[in-house]
Amino acid sequence: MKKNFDESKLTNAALTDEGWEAYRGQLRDEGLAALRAKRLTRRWMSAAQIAAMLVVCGAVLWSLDGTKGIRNKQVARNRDRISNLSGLPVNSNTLRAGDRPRSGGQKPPLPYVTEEEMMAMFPKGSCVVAEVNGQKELVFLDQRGAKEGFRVTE
Amino acid sequence: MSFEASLPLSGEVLLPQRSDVAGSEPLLRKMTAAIRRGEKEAFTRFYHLYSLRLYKYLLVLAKGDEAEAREVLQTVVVKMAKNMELFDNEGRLWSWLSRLARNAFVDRCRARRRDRRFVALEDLPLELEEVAAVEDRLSHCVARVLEGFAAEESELLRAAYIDERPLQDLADEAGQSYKALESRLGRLRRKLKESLLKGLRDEKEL
Repeated sequence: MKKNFDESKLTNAALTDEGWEAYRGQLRDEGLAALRAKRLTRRWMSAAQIAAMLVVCGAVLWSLDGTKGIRNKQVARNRDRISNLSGLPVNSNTLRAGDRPRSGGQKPPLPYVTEEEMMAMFPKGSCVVAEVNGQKELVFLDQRGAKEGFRVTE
Repeated sequence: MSFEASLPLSGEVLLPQRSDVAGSEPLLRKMTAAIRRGEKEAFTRFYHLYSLRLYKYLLVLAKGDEAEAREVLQTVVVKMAKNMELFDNEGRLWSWLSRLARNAFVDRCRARRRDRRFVALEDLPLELEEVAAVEDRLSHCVARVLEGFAAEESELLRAAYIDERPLQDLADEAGQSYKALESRLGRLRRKLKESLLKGLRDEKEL
């Protein structure tokens, strides 16, 4: 082993001439350039990954917002339909499906439907407003229709 | 991060030095990790430690063809910079490096084989040869070459490069000026290199 080590020293002395030193310097620079290129590529990859994540997050948020918009449009369409059937404009403050009573110090005006608007929601002649025990109640003449739903014709 | 003070400076020798480097395994890990992060100081240090050793290995594979060994070394250095792995064991590191070098050499041989229709049998790479065997061959070749030198030349080379005696002492002993001895050693080194490369080229037994 010692012999190999000695001969290795001699080999090094023989091989490390000026030509080798110049070549080694040039090669080191090439290696460093490759290292820089790799670091740059890695940075670009990281940036691309972040950008991709942002795009995905944006798409998710947009799709959630889109769903809400569709629901709002559906509610508006239903209101228009009711308005068309009754011939009366539906108040924008009228109670809508999904609306909840609000609480807090400053209460906004409660949404309501007028008697006419309520009657307009159902086919003509299917119900009346009657006074029962001193209170106004909506009474359906067709009990089966009230249970199963009325056919709406435009 | 500076590796200059903590790692052996002369990592450019063959197998016997392995134990010296193995003593600094945590540093080896730090160094390879730093190269993976793209730190150029770590790469420069690593390159300084292993480039000559790789070159010598490739020189044996290329049978003393300096140009070929250098071209393959170029490929290996670039691959090394791009694909450095994490190592905490010098043996494994050298095994990885030598495999990288051997594969690059084999690829080059294959490419040359595609270019030429016929390839001499001895041009085929030493795929099955052990790394240690390749390194030993270089040492044996040097020993053989030195046998062909005059005793005085051989003694001077050993005194200067193995025993590392001061050149002024050697010059005084030889009754020469420092400059004259330096020139003489330069000539002897060139002669040794030429003989070594010729020895590798002439080797029939792989």
